[in-house]
Amino acid sequence: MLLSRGTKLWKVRSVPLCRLYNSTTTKNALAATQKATDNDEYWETPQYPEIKDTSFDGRKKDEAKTWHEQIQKTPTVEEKLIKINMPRYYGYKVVHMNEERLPYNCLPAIQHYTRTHFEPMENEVKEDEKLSAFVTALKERIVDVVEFSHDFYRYKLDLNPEMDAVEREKTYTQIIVEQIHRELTNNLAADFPHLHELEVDYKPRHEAFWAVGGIEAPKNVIKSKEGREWQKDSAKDPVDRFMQYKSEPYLALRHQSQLQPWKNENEYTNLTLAKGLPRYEYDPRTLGYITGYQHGTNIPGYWPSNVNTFGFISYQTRAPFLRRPESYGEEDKLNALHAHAIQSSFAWLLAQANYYGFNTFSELTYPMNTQTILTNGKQWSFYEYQLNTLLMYGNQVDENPRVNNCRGTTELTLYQEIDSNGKVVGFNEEVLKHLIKCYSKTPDVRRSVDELTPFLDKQYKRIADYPDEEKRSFLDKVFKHMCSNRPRHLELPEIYMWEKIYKIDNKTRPMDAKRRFFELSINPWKRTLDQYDKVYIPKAERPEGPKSKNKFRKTYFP
Amino acid sequence: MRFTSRLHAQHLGWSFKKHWQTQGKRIPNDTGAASELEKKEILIKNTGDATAHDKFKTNIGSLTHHQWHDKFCYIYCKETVLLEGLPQAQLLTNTVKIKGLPKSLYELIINLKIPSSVERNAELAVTKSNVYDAEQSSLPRTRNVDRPAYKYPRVYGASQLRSNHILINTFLNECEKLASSEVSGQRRILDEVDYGVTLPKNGYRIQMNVVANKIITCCKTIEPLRGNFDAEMPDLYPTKNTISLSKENGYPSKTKFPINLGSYSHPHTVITFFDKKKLRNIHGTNVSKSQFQSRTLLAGFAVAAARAKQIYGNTNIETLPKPIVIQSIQTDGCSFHFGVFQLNTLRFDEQSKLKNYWFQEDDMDLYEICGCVNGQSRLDGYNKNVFRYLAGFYKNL
Repeated sequence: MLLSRGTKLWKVRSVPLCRLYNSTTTKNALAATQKATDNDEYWETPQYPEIKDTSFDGRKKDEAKTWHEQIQKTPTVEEKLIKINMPRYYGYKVVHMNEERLPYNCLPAIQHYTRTHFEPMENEVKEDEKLSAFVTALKERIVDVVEFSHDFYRYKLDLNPEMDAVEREKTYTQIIVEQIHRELTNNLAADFPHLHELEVDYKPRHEAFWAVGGIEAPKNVIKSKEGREWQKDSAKDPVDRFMQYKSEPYLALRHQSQLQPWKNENEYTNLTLAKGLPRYEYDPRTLGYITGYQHGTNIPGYWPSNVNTFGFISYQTRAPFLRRPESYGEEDKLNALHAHAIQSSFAWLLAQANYYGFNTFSELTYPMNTQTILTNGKQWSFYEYQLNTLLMYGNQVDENPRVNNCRGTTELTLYQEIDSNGKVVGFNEEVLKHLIKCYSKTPDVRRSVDELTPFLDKQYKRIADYPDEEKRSFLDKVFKHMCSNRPRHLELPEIYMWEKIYKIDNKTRPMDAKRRFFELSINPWKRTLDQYDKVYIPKAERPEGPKSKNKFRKTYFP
Repeated sequence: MRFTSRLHAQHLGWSFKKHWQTQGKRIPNDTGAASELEKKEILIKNTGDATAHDKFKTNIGSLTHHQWHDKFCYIYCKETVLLEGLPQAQLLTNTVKIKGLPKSLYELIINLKIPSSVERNAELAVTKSNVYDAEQSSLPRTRNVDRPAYKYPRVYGASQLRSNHILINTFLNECEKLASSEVSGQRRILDEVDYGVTLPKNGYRIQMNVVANKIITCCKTIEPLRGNFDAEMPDLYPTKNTISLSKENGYPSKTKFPINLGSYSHPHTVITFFDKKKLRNIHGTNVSKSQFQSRTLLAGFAVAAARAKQIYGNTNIETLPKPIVIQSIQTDGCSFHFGVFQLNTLRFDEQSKLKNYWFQEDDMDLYEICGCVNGQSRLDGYNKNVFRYLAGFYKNL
């Protein structure tokens, strides 16, 4: 007994000594890598694992880092998207972003959320001989198309006079945008063959999901942290918010090659520029954004195995601007247009980047470009967007030197009015020049497959590539189910008011059986995507025969 | 003390049940009003009898409906399925059916040169519309005829209307690549266009309403076929040829026709979509092949008749100075039906010697299987001819 106590004491006393000894020997890092003998097991100097920060913050950071690494290592596109959503069975709490909700003074907030540097573009296009030749050739046709579209719109309006202003604008713009696009491609394709290779999406589904740091914590988070001794100091630290963008442009054009970037790496990697970007540190709800619970979805209008997947042009709506009060003023309207162009371009490119294996936790390795047109048929504004970075989570808002770039014009008027005879008055050639400029840009940046998809598996890029049929269909089902965001079969359990009063706040029912989830210390929000009753295989259908004990179908969650 | 007896002292469900058992047996008390009225010799009538009277009904309709007509009208609309199918459509429109497309059009289709790149893109368009579109709306319920009470989980995916639109849009894009800029410059394409026309026939009126999901308009008309095509008209006796058309008094009688200005007002080809899951016979069976084909004919007829009304106004013109030719295509995404309608006369009674012409090909299937099977896209038995026909229709003038 005494002896054993003695040895313990000896151990405790000798530890600091050993530590001192160890620290002196590992100073020379180079020497540490040199082996003493040919035998692999022995080294001249001892090898120690990396010293980890064991504080609460340190462990949290470590956990987050491991999770991000796991996402990056996940092989296929779909699995990566599922992996991001794994921690929440009932979905993340997200801030909804769309064209319907562009609150007053939203430009700085959207610049912060998308890490975008905006610069104005000149309204006049530099004219050369070629361009003026196209303009003269096309002008009459475009005027004709506008008159034709307006005539058809009047007909539709006569049949449905009860349409509200926003619906009317959407109907008119859809007609005119499709007609103008058709006219431009048919007439310019002889000179710009890439127009024949375009793929057109009509009212596609554009959705994107990303995390943004540097926003102050909401009250409930602060309160809950203040209740725990070890989190008190960090209670008011900013927390990450998840953003979910959803929209439906009128038209989206895609091509198999990328557009040429207009900013080089030195221009977009600039820490002073990045730190100078506007910040909106208050809760997004203070501006008027709303939150909801859903799985994060990244969809650029099609499913991952499709071809021609680089954005060329998207025609975005501005019909909900009619619902903004006029008292916001002209300047704010212009800023809101810029903001909408930034968020829609960013979201589309982010969704495309997701299909190449990047996401909000894995940085882009090459820039991606697109062009965006906001229009209501009469007013047009043109934007160019370059996506350089996707990292906005956590401290990246202070540390990431990269910024995204956007440039755009102000509103341009295609025509003054359409008179009572249905004729266009005051046609503005400047809009046509911009349109021709957009369409004449040749997407010619081609990269090798390895360069395009550095974070995807070499062999299996999409789940359709897996040879295992069961795995493929399982992942496809989970992925589509997750993307549809359909309601769960059983809703999230709820604490009823009477339970809050009589069971939680006042313990008035000590004799009741404790069966409800809050009495069993179960947090339903912590339920993960794979926590559900597995599918039972009837005996007759078991692959190993009816006597097999493998009663449940296999799952293949990443 | 055991708590059970205290807890079971009251059972709310049981009390309610007992309450309803007694309340449900209540008999309305005689208030004595009826006998009082009888004493004063006032006749008592049932309220149901009063409102069921015909006179009463018409009065209400004419007062409340802003487009009320005293004379009823037979209405054909996109929800109507003709019971007798193609023969009934022929009788309604006074049309003879001719097998095969007009010779010039058929030769144009056969001799069309389609580059392999365009053909490949057309094939890709099929998977693009059926597999790769990311729309996820709640689709109509799937039902099993053998187990009608069984509820399948609701499937989420692209609606048929949407995938048909994508398919036809992509096909037409490829057609425009194929045609010269001169040809495509003569055409315009519009979505979801309403056409409607009301015509007199054998002493009653008949209204044709069609929604053209896609219409190609042109700055020139298609040349009509000269020559006489004769074939026997079908006989539906004892069925009346207006069977399964709804009979209404409240309807708009104005002709619906878009594009009054400019030179692109000639309808060229009308493309309509058909949804098997949404449209059935009133007795619940699926739409037959003949019924499917009748819809193609009537779409072509409605557009042609509306055009004739638009050109010649409401004058009672019977024989058209220049026949109107409309090409009509119908699809449910897989089956395609191609036809050409030539409107020669607006006289629809059986005595009329001049008939309208309907040229048609048999249905063609675009594919055997297309969809997402076990996480992979699959397209089996793709039929190249469908695109060839569509391209020929687009080019024809």
